[in-house]
Amino acid sequence: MISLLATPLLACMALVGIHGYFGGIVLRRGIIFIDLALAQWAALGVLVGHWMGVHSPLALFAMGFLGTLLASLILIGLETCHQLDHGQEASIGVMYVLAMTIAMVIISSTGIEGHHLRDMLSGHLLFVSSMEVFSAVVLYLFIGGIAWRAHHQLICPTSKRWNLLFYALFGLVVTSSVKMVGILLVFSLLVLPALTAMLIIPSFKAQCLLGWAIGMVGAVLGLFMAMGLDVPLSLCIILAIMAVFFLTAGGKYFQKSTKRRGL
Amino acid sequence: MCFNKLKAWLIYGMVGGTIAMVGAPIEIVTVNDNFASIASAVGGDLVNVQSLVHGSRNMHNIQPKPSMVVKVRSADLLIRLGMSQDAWVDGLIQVARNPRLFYNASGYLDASQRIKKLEVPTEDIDGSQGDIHKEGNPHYWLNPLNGIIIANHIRDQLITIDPTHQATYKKNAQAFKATITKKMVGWTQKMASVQSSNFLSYHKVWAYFFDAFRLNDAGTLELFPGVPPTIKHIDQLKTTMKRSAQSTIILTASFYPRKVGESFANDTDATFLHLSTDVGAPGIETYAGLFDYLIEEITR
Repeated sequence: MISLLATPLLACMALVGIHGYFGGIVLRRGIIFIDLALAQWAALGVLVGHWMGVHSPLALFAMGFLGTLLASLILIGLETCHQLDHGQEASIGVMYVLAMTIAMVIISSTGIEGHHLRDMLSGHLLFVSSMEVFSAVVLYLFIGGIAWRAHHQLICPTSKRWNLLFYALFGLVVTSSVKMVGILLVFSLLVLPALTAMLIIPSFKAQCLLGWAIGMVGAVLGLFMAMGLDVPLSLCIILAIMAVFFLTAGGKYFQKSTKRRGL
Repeated sequence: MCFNKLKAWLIYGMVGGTIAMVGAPIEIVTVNDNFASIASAVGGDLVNVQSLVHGSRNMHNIQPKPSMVVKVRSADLLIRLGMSQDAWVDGLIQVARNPRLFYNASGYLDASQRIKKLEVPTEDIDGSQGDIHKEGNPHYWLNPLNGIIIANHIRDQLITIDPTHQATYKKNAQAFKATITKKMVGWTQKMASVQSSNFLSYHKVWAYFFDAFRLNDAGTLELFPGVPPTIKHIDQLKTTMKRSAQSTIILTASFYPRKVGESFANDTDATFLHLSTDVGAPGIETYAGLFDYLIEEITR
């Protein structure tokens, strides 16, 4: 039983690492749903790949990444929208729906099976192979290395090129992680640890470290919960991280109200 | 870990004697209850059958759970649907690392292997046709005669695994065949009342069922899974159905939405049926019971 969890746990550690970092950035820049949009574009790229008869996993990965790159370019082109109130969020939403719609049109007019789309977005944490985890770790180390050098430009890009770098790196992360564990868990690993940490500490560095700790605790708890309850792994991890988030938020609320009463 | 091992040895020690006398049952794991029902009929008391998925479920959308790996790990025989419909089973076999179940090993049984498939695309498949059911229609268990083919397949594989009991397996498979053949006469008689009706379905689920009872397949409401039907397509179907002098029956498998079929039935005075297609759904206990239920509902 325990040996069954070793590879999924390693996968989670890698994912917590890279998503914990990007989560902080995404929350600061106010582009929370960027992962959903980019993942949908990656899935669209993979779907087009299947349509063209591409079978090699590496080539399909490249197609997925090309999808996210295309989306990044369009998003940067839409920057004029960002001056509007909530314009940036709206344009990200538009991109999500656009990719989904194009995918549906392709499915309906070609007969390509919709399960390619679902496979791409639902993940397979229980079956993740050590080779997959290894290549993900290599990829994340590479991305992490770039982020280490260009951190300030990722948080607050001074030009379109730096912005494109952020989208490209994040697109790479999402293309690999969504395929591995599914869109729900990716969103949870991205947003929840960072958000929970933000409730506790103000500095980015400390939030990043705390976020990693929260993500890891959530992953370990979730994996054991999945064994006990016999529920798919990714769902249990999401619930575990959610629990940490809601406990922290509840604690914060309680703290505030007692303070107010004290005053 | 250590404690578990100790416990396991203790249990072995206690039960070991009994097992040596009676022989441990052969552990069979099936993807769903359809195959579980047939496997229990063929294996009888000599096997212990566990099913991974219960009831009527679309085999494409199964979220694997930890307990499934545990079941597959200790299985002697794994029976799957095949035809690229249950790809998640490959993942299970890989993670469980049970060499008895590797492809082409004696414990690996793809139940579709001996079935004469329907709706296999004849033209060369290129991108424009996509990859819908490349290997033909996968709902082959819906012809009771295919159940007999599956039973014989299971019998042969059980004999390879456990040759000492081959007489029992042969006898059981024969009895299964006799039951289905006898019931088939009654089912066919009952179905005579709907022989002239037009059968519409939501998705191409019923090809083998139509084939078994010589029913008139009038087409599907949905052209592609998960994609809403086009107006043109629905309109064409409605016109054809209204023009036809025969009654129309719309069949929708219970894991597909009822909305489209229901509204279509309202507009054309057709009968709408939302039916389970698998053993394990409420009220369907056995493979033969599945057809009792289907035929009862359709001819009601």
